[in-house]
Amino acid sequence: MVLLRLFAEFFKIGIVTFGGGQAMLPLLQRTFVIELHWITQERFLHFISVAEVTPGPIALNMATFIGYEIYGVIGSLFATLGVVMPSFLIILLVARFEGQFKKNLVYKRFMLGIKPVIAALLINAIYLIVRRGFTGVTPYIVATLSFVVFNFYKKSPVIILLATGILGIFVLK
Amino acid sequence: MLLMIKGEHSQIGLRKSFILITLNALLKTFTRKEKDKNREIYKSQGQEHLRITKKPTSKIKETILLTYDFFLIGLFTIGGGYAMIPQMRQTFCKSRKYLTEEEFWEILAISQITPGPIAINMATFIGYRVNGFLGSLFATIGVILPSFIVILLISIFFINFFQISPVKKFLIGILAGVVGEITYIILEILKKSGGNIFYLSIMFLSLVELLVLRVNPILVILIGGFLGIILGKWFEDKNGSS
Repeated sequence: MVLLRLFAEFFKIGIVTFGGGQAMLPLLQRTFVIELHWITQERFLHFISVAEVTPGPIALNMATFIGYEIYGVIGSLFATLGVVMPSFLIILLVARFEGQFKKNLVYKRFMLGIKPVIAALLINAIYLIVRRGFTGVTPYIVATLSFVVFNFYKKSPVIILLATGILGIFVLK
Repeated sequence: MLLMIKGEHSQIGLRKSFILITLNALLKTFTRKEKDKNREIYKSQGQEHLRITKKPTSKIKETILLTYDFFLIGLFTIGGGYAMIPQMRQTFCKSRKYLTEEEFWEILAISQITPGPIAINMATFIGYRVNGFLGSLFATIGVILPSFIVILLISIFFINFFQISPVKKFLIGILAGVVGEITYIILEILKKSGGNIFYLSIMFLSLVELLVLRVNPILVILIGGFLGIILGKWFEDKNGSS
């Protein structure tokens, strides 16, 4: 029963949050800390601090954490499935019918207007990363360095990112 | 006794082969060829198109490749959705050639305005493009697995590897690298837009909405799309992409 409830709660949250993980956090807190009392506030904040620095989307990390806290490995499995299911099903539908309205003039013009917004969103993404993770001048220098390298070496970004990570160990405070 | 020795031997063999496989995978990732022989992207009338020159070897192989690609993407991105974008673009537009860049940005926009984490939406969408339902299923599993495994390990062993100072510095270093990468991509996109007035003014408007007025990104996308529908009539020829 707890498992089903876990799945259902995460499913609900997955449906109503637009725009990714950060938007999910207040809802998660209200559901699991305030309404259900399954997790203490302190624990919840600890989860967020860890979820932000571990690999992968924050929403998924939170689901795995909360699920494990409540019902072990199976709990985290159910929570993850719950949070993934809505977006999986919706995108499946969109992808299935996308071909049909691709030739539609209104759709084309809509996409024409969206292209500049994407550039703005990418700039906004930089702003968000910088605001959250950068302290002091050194990260900016590393970022500038990586930008210069990206202009010259186009083969494998993973190498460059690993290099900046290793550089980070030595130069960051 | 004999059994025990045998068991030990096979264990060592297993460990060795595991290390070999990991090394091999890492090596392949780093020396990934720029060109996929099965597909090519060509330009005509100022627009990029995708052409499949040779049928892919097998659907199963392609699906496994897709899972592997998304697993790596999930593993190498810290701090959620947008840090994944450069890696995805490189893998699926440049190396594998599953999508043209324009299609990629369209998929990103759709992923932003539909509910759920952006990374999951992108994985499902790209997976569907490559190999239908099966592709989307395995792409999503691939992108989920790294964070699932890492968080489970942290929860089970109560140690937080990622709070250790050098590891944290390593991760922030990678994030700084991602910032450089995104900056590079933004400049590339701007170069492609060719200083079009319609493009630049909508971008500026969106920036004001996002950074100054703090409007929700979904609303910003919808406003841009709406302006495109109204004003697109006068600008679509010049842009050459509609």
